[in-house]
Parts: sequence; structure tokens; C-alpha cells
Amino acid sequence: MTKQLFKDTCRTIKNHFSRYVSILLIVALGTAFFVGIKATAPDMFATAEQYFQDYNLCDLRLQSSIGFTEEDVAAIRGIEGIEYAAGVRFLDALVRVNGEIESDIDGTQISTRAYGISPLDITNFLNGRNDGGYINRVRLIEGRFPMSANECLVDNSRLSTPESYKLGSVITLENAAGEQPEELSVSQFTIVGVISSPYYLSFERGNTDIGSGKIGTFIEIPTEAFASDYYSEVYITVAGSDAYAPFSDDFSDFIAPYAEQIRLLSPSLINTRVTALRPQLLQRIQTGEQKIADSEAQFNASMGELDGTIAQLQKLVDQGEALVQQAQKEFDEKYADAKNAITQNTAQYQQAIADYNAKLAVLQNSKAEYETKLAALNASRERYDTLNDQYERAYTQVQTLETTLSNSRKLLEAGETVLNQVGDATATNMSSDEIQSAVTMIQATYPELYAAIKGLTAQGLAVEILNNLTPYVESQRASIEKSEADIAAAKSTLETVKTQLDAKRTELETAATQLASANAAMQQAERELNNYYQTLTEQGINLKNGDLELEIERLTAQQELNTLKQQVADAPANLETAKTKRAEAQAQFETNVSFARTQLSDAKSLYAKLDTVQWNIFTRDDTPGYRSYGQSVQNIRVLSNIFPIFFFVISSLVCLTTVTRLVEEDRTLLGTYKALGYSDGAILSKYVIYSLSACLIGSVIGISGAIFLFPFAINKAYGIMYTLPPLIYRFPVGATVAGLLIALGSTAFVTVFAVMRDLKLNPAVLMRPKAPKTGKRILLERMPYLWKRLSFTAKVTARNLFRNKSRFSMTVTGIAGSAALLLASLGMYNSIYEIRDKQYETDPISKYDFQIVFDDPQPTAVHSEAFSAALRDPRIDSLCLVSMKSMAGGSGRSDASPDVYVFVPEQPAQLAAYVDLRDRHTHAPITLDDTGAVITEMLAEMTNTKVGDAITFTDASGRTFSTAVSAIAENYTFHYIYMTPVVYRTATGQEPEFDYALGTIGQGFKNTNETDLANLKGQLATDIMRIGGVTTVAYTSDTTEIIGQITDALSLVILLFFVSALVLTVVVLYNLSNINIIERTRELATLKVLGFSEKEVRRYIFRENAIVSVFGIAFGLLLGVALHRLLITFTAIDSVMYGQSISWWSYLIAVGVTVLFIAAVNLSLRGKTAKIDMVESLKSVE
Amino acid sequence: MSFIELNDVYKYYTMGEVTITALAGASFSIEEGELCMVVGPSGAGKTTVLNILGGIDSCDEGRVRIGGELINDYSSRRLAVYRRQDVGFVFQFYNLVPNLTALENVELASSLTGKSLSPRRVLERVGLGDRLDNFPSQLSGGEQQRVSIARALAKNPKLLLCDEPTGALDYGTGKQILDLLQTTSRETGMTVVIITHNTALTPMADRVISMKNGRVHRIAINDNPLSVNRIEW
Repeated sequence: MTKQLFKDTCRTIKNHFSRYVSILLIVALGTAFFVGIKATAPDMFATAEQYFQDYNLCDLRLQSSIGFTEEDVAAIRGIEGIEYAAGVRFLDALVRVNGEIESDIDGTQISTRAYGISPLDITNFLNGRNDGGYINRVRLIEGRFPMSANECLVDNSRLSTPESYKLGSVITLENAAGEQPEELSVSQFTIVGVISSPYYLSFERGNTDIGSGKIGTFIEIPTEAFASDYYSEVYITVAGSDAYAPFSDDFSDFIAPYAEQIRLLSPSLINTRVTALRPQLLQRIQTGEQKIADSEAQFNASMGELDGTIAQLQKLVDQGEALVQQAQKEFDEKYADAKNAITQNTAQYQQAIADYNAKLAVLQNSKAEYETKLAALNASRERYDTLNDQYERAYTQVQTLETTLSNSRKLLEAGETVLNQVGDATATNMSSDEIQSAVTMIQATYPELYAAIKGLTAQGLAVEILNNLTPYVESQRASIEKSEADIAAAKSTLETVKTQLDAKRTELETAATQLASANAAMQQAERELNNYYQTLTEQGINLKNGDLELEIERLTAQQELNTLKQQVADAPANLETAKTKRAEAQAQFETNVSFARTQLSDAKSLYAKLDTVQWNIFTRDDTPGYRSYGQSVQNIRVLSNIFPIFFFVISSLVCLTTVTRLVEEDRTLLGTYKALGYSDGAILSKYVIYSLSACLIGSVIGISGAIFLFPFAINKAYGIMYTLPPLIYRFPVGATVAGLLIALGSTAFVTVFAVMRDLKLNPAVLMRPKAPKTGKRILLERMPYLWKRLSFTAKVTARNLFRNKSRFSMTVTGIAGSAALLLASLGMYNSIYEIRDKQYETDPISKYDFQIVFDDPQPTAVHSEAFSAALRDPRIDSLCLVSMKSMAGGSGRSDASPDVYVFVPEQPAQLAAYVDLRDRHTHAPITLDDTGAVITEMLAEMTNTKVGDAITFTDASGRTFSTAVSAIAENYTFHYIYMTPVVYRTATGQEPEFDYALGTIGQGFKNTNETDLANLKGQLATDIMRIGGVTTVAYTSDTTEIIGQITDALSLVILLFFVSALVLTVVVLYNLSNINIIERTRELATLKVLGFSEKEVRRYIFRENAIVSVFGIAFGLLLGVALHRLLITFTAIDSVMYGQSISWWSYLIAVGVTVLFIAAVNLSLRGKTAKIDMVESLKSVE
Repeated sequence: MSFIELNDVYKYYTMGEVTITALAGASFSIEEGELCMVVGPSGAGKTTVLNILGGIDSCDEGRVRIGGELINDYSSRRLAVYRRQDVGFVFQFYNLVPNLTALENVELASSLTGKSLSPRRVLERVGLGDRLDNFPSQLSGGEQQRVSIARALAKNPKLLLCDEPTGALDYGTGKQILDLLQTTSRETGMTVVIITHNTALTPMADRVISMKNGRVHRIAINDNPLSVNRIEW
């Protein structure tokens, strides 16, 4: 290749970049899809394998009803080729989290399997010292390992673990009676870590004999928390098993001989253990019986008490209304009278009070009057006293006057005497003595005279006395005389006054006396009134007291009445409470006693079976989720071989179209190069470089994205169900090489093909415009009747369509491929969904709601105690006893030997109510009768069996039986061979062992909301499991749920396919439509020049697209149906039959989506036609 | 007023950074019913004129009046109607839809307008009465060009535009085609504009417009156009 040619190549890429990109994209999509899905299954297998190796998943697992001793384990370890055997203790218990009961999805208390984990193992494991003795190691996801006996690890499945299992929460383990299990020395554990275990790949946790019969979660507790002295399970690893891929047949084949060796070893070990166990069991049975008797006695006593209360309350409920009425009546009567009396008394009292008040008023009047009179008397008295005083003073004055008068008389007399004496003495010469006496007398009586005479001599004296004394005496005499008259007058007046006064005094005294007596009377009246008042007050108080007492009495009575009423009103509720209490007590007792009974019956049954004890040897296939994981990954592997083919085919088509177009455009150039002397190879290389470089870049982009994206997305979807360590991404060398080879090879092939077609021609021909394709009559024209009826435009469209057959077929193929992929994806969804739907839900085959597993085969329904006990439950509508034995089916006509259930109903006539045996095509019911067995469809297909052929079934001990097939029934999950007891007996020579019962829940109980139904189911399961002899109860809905989750995960993968198909649809349609327009630019430009409007031009071209699409879709639907059939055949899971048909809505969606995308693509191409320049029409033909 | 009037029309094409002036003030008029030839060397602007007249391109400056209407103001939708109703176009390379028979190619056009002529009759008129059901690939170049003319005529347009109609034909066939166009113009009174670089053909036209460098170089009126048969080149 010359430099110039290379330059031309580069420019071609640049000038036709969008075409280049379209090749690149479609190849990227194709390789991405192919390599991505191809890479997924190996990645998932590798992740699982690594997980099993790193965490030492057991190759074999032993279980036995009597457990294992240290000696047993040692003996197993001694078998050659056994790498290690480890005894493990576990316990199934019910769980409380932080003291609260934690519920399962079905509403019953969640159960857990607690495994013992050895601290030594953990330490060794953590320190990297590891002798292989720690089997089924746990993977710590969060937190740490336990360091003391009361710490635990919990599992992390998103589907099975409740929210409350958080670090730091405390888990309490208890038995069905709510007590600490006797196998444990510690029952409370703090969560310190979250783990996953290789043993529990999926969310399935297996079954147990407590709670609802389903293990909810698993936890790991330190071994020292166990009190038991035997192991529950033995995990075994076989040396060299890592060399075989898990899930493979090689692996199973490698392990099988070791299982056989263990089986051979077991009888002697079992015998030793049984001998030791027998006395212990007997002891346990006796203790158990005693315990039950004791608790029954205690229960009966407490029941008596409760019953008394209930009887009382019942009476209240029954007669309460009457009692209340009676009491009310009495109350009303009694307190009506009392009320009247009080009213009367009160009236009288009021009257008396009025009377008192009137009297009081009168008294107060008299009092006032008396006071007035008293005042008047006192005034009179005062006046009298004044007058009296005046009189007294006047009288005193008179007496004084009289005294003075008498003195005056004496003086007068003295004077007269003196005068007489002096007169005589003058005459006689009076002696000195006599004079002296006269002077003394004058000195005493007449002081003035004395003053006048004092110095006089006796003689002179006498004369003087005589001269002066005489007048004095004379006046004195006159005055005395006058005074005597005055006094007499005064005395007379005084006498009068005195008389008056005395009268007055008498008067006064009379009045006083009168007043005093009035006063006395009044005081008497007041006293009386006071007394009356006293009486009245007392009367009032009495009256009030009486009233109050009565009221109090009435209120008390009222209170009593109310109490009674309340009691009566509360009685129903109280009665309910009491009844509930009783029921609770009963339930508690029953729980306890039934737990004790279960234990007892377990012990008894174990004792009875001691002679037939076996070791159950399980392989990995029996591990929950192991098989389904393998199967799921296998399915992806199959899908990876089918779907991508389409992508490659379609991407090759796109590539072919694009390169063809390129070559057509370059036709002249091709001729020119040839004419210039370039070799065919050199010219070819230009186009090969063009397409292969696009292809290579696309592949690299597609592969590099896909090897991460697809495994990631698919694993994510499966991660809902399976708990594994993060996905290991391995570079898928094989797939990458294959993908590259296919992509590059197909691209190179179509390129060479497209280029060589033209390159064969000689340069002259090439440089001439390509002879236009000759118009041809199309097939339709040979049907004139039809052709003539077509409109002109329809004719044009029809002709145009068939003109370019290769493009027509390419477009049809493209659209068909996309539609087929869409339909097949949707169809797969239908098929997966139908498994559940047809088997269990809409018009189900399995009509029973649950199955009961009995400890021992039941003789017949009528004679089975456990069966009858269960049937008595009102929630159970019906039950039927069946025998279900898992055996290996076969026919000799094929190699298949699937696990089948040999299903024998005790009463074949009843079977139709539980299992709807019918033909899938005709829907005709199939009757099970004594003419032969009815087998399920998938089994018939696998064993190549037809009606009339013989089917064989081989039991666990290797005996093979055979019977004729009378009919083949529709069925989707598991394989069944149905037969009547007669047929079974004839075929096997044995009696069927009826150890299962199928049951339905009453319609009335079913018609509730989901939560209630779940609760009901949980409760029912718990109750049935309490019946002695019942091992477990399994609900059909649980199976449905698991199938639902599996199908949901698969649906996600299908969705991935669906979306890829959509992308493919867009790329293909856009590319092909785009090229169609480009190719016909000249034609379209001419139409425009002729005067076609934009709309008409669009219609002209898109009408063709629409018709091509119709062909494409129709063809695609056919192809889709075929693809779907291919898929359900190739992805078939052992024991599951996919739904065989595609739902009408899937067709609808596939068509709808394709049409939608075609419309969208055409819409997006509108601009293209609008942009076509009319001048193009004038250019010369290329 | 003339049937076609171009008044100082400019047209520029921008090719990347280069602007090419295709028409630099072209002005001319053509009367109704005339057979007009536009001649000139390559790049003179003949095709641009034709494109503008045919409504498949627009001018940047100046006025184009056809039948009294200014078509340079038309919207693209109105232009489509104009092309459909008023214009018949004959291409140098015929541009027949290869997948349609002669008759169907004509019907493709005639179905567009209400005033169309019978496709069969038109084909008979152009001398292809016996080749109605032949596909283009079964016809010779001249026959194909006749179909192309028939397709243009079937719409019964006012204006027939022909872009080098004989460019891809041999001498004899070319003569027949030109004769057909001349006859059509004469008989139907249709205005026909033919573009050619062959000046020898000009004597057959009523009017000859010579173009050079995007301008009208000369307009010649032939009072006595010659019949095609009498022209040799």
C-alpha cells in the first residue's frame, strides 16, 4: 500500500466518520454482549470455587438423630483419603432480639440455627495457622470474632436476616416453651460480627423441628456456650477435592466413594452410641412424664380460680342490666320521700324564724319606750333634788339666823345687865371688879364699844359705857325684834315649800317603782325571746344536719349505684380480659406442656427407633442453595451461547451494508486506482483497513467495558439470592479471542465480499456510471386483480421495496433480529413467571396450601391421631394423607435418572382437590386410577416416555421398580410419579408409607390481607407442630416465594438482554434507514424538483420503511418464537419445566417497542430528507 | 410586462472560505410562448439562472418575476407549489425513477397536479406510445429523455426548463429531442428555456441569452427561428 493510498484511507474514515462510528458501535455492542456474558459464568464459578476453597466448605456432612461422639469423629478421620472430619454442635432455637420477639416473614417467632464455633479454630485461622480442621469457615463481613462465651456472629443474608440483627444487639435463644434450652449453658449473646458462610450460599436456611419449621437465620456462638456432650453434625473434607470444579459431575463422582466408606463404617459406631444412650433416654422419658403430670396439676388449680372470676363476670354480663334497674328503682323510691320531709321541715323552720323576728321587733319597741320613760324619771328626780337642795340651804340659813338672833339676845341681855349695874354703880360708886366684868363683857359683845372704852379709867368708863351703851342696846333691841319677825316669815315659807317637796317626792317614788316593775317585765320577755332563739337555732342546725345526712346517704347510695353500673358496663370487657387471660394461661400451659410432650414424644420416638438409627450422609448438593447457584450460573452460560449470535449476525449485516455503500460511492475511484495500476489487494486493503480498524476499536471498547460490566450487573442481580464474597473478575481470554476473531473475521469477510464484487470488473466499466438497476416486474404485478386495485403510490412503494432485494432483506433481518430478541427476552420472562403461576397461583396444579410431615408413617387417615388432631383445627379446610418418596426415575430409553417423587395418595379419589392432574394441551383432567401411573411432562420428556411405556423408579437401597404410564400430566416444578396404592403395591410389593399430609386452608381464612394471612399461616404452622408426631409443616407459598425470588433475579438478566436488544434495534434501524436515504438522494432530489412537498417526500421514503418494518416484525416474531423455544430447551433446569408459551402481551410489547423505535428513528431522520439539496438532481451520475 | 423578468440578480456560493459569485447582476426578460436558449461557457451562470427560474434555488439579490409574481419572495412551501404547478423540468441525465415504467414515471409527476394531461397521451405525443410499460433501463438515452420531457409536459406547466437536454445524447437523438421541444413550444405556446453550451443550436430559438461571468452578455432576438432539422452542428 502506498503512502497516498493510506492517506486516502485515512481521509475516507474522516469523510465518512458517522458510518465508521456506526460500524464501530455495532461491533462494540456485539462483542460486548458476547464477551460480557461469556465472561460472567466463569467469573461466578471462580468466585464460588475460591470461596469454597478459602473457607473450606465441607465435601460431606453427616447427621444423625443420636448425634456423634468424639470417637465417631476420630474413626471417620481415620478413613484413608479423608482430609479432616470435624464435629460441630448446633442447636435450633427461637430468637429474641434485645428482649423482643423477632418475627419471621410468616409472622411466627423467628428460629435460628446456632452453630458452635471453636475459639481455637478462630485464633488459628486468624493467625494463619490452619490444619484444615476448621471446616465451613465463616467470612467476617463486619465487626470481629467472639472473644467470650456470650458473644455471637450473625449471618448477613438480606433476605433472611431481620433488621434488628445489628452489632451490639443482644440475641436470646429460647426453646418453644420460652426457656433457656437445656443444651446451652449461656443463652444470651451480644452480636459482635456479621458473617457469611460458604455453607449457606443462598438465602435458604433449611428446615427445623421448632417454630414454624423453617430456619430463619443462622448464628455462630462459642462452643463453650454448649452444655451438650455430643456433636450434632460432622463436617468432612476429602483430600484432593479442590482439584475438581465445584458443581461438576467429576466432583460428585470423586466424593461418592468416600460417602460409601463412611456408610460402611457407621453400624458399629452407631451400635456403641445406642448402647450408651438407651438408659439415658429411658431416664429422660420418665422425667418428662413426671414433669407433664406436675404441670397439668398446677395448671388445673390455677384454671379453677380463673374460671370462678369468669363465672362472676359472666353473671354480671348476663344479669347486670336487671340488677342495675332494680338498684336504681330502690334508690329513686327511698330518696324521693326523704327529700319531701326535708322540704316540709324547712318550711316550718322558715315560719318559726319569721315569728321570732316579729317578736324581736316588738321587744325592741318596748325597750325603746322604757328607755324613754327612764330618761324622763331621771330628769324629774334631778329637778326634785335641785329643789330639795335649795330648801335645805334656805333652812340652814334660817337656823343660822336664829343662832345669830339668840347671840344678839344674849348681848342685849348682857348689855342691859351692864347698863343696870353701871347705872346703879354710878350711883354707889361701882367697885373695880364690877367694872372689869362689864368691860370684859363689852369686849366680847360690842367690840366697837370696847375699842372706844379700852383706855378709859374706871370712872370715866362707867360714864362712857352708860352714855354709849344705851343706844346700842336700844338699836340692838330693835334689830332683834325685826329679825325675829323675818325669821318667823321665812320659817313659814319654808314650811310651805317643805310640804310641796314632800308631795313631789312621793310622786317620784311611785313613778320609779312603776318603771322598775316595767323593766323587770321587759327583761323577762327578752330572756324568753332569747330562749326561743336558742331553740330555733338548734332546730335549724338539726334541720340542716338532717338534710346533710340524707344527702350524704343519698350520694353514697348513688355512688354505690354507679359502681354497680360501671361494673356491669365493664363486665363484658373484663370478661373478655379474664377469658383472654385464661386463654393465655391455657396457651402458655399448652406451649409448655406441648413442648414437654414434644420432647417426650421425640425422646420416645428416638428410643423406639434406636435399633434402626442411621447416619445421614449429605453431599454438597444437599446444601441449601448450592445446586441452585450452580444451575443459575449454568443457565447464564447457555444464554451466552445463544443470544450473542444474533448480535454478531446483525452487526455483520450492518457492516456489509455500510461497506457496500462505501464501495458504490467509490466506484469510479476504484476504477481509477485500477487504471493507475494498483493491485486488487492494495485497493482492497483500503476498505479492509477502514472496516477492520472500526471493528477492532469497537471490539476493544466493547470487550473492555463488557468484561467488567456484564459480570457485575448479572452478579448483582444474583446477589439478591446468593451471598458470596465480591466477584472475582478474570480476564476471559478464550471469550475475548473468540469475540475478536468472530468480529474481525466476519467484518473482514463482508468487506472483502462487498469490495470484490466491484473490483472484479475492469476499470473502464468501473469508471462508467453503474448501469442503473433494471426495473423489474414484481410478483405482485402477476396478480393483476390485486395490482390494479393498488393506488399509484402503493405500486411505486411496492416496486421500490423489491428493487433492492439485498437491502430489503437486510433491513428485514435487522428489524426481525431486534424484534426476535425482544420477544425472546419477554418470552423467557413469561416462561419463568409461568412456572410459579401455573404450578401454584392462577389455576394451579399444586392446589394444596401446605404439607405436613409426620415423624412416622401413619396407618390410614382415620386411624392417625396426628392427622385427626390437625384436621380438627378450624382453619384447616381439608387434609389428605399421601406417601411421597424421593427416588431416582428412569426408563432405560434415555440416560436421564432425575430425582422423582413417587406420590401415592391414600384416597386417589381425593387427589383432584390437592393436585390438578391435567393435559397441558387439551386441559382435560386426568384421573388417577389403577390402570397405571401418571407421570409429569418434564419427566416424560427426559426419560423419553410415552403413554403406555413403562417408567422405572429406584429407591435409596437400590431396588428398582417399574410400572406402566397411563397418562402424562402438566407440571412445572419437580418430577412426580403419581399412582394409586394398588398400583404401588403391585409395582413394589410393599405397602405405601403415608408420612405426608397435604392440606388446604379454609377459604374464609384465606380471604384476608397478606399480613394477616402470613400471621395465620405462621400461627397455624406453630399449632400443627405442637401436635405430637408432626415433624414439620411446609407451605406451598414458601416454595412460591423462593421461586419468585429466583425468577426475579433471572428477570434482571432478561432485562439486560432486553435493553441490549433495544440498543441493537436503534443502531440497526438508524444505520439502514440512513443509508437508504443517502443512496437515494438523487431520486429524492428529483422528486422535490418535480414539486413533491417535504411531506410527500418523507411519505415516499418512510412508507417503504414502514412496510419493511412490518415484514421485519412479522419475521422477527416467528424468529423470536423459535429463539424462545431454543432458550427454554437449553436453559432447562433439572426438575423445573419452563412455561412453554409466550404471553400475548409479550408479543404486544415486542411489536409495540419495535414500532416505537422505528417511528423514533424515522422521526429523527426527517431532517435528513429535508436537507437534501435539489441541485443534487442536476449532478452527473457517479 | 414580460412573462419572465430577471432584474439585477446576484447569487453567491460560499465554498469554505471562498465565495464564488455565480450571478453578478444578471438581468433579462423572456416573453410568454418563446423558446429561449441560454448559452455561455462553463461557469457563466447558466445553470444558476435555470435553478432560480425553476424554484430549486434562490437568488441573494435582485428580483425574479415570473408570470407577474415575485418568486424570490416565496417560502419553501410556496416554492414547492410553484414547482408542482408551473414548472416542468428536463434534466441532462433524465433522472427517471429506474424502478418505474415510462408510464409510471410520467404518472409520478401528473399525479401531483389537478390540471395534468393524460400520461398515456403525452407519451404518445413524444413518440413512445408503444413503450409505455418499459422500464428506463430498457429504453435508449433519447427515449429516456423523451420520457423525461413527457414527465415535465404531463404537468401542463407554464414554463419548461431544460438543462442541457442533449448533453448526454448522440447527435441524431439530440436533434430529435430539440425538435420535440421546439414543436412543443410552437404547438402549445409553452415558454421553454433551454440551457446549452452549444451555440450552434441558437438559430432555432426565439431568443438567445448569452452569458459570461455571471452577467448577461448579449440578448439576441431571432425573428425567424430555424427549424431544428435545418440546423447542423
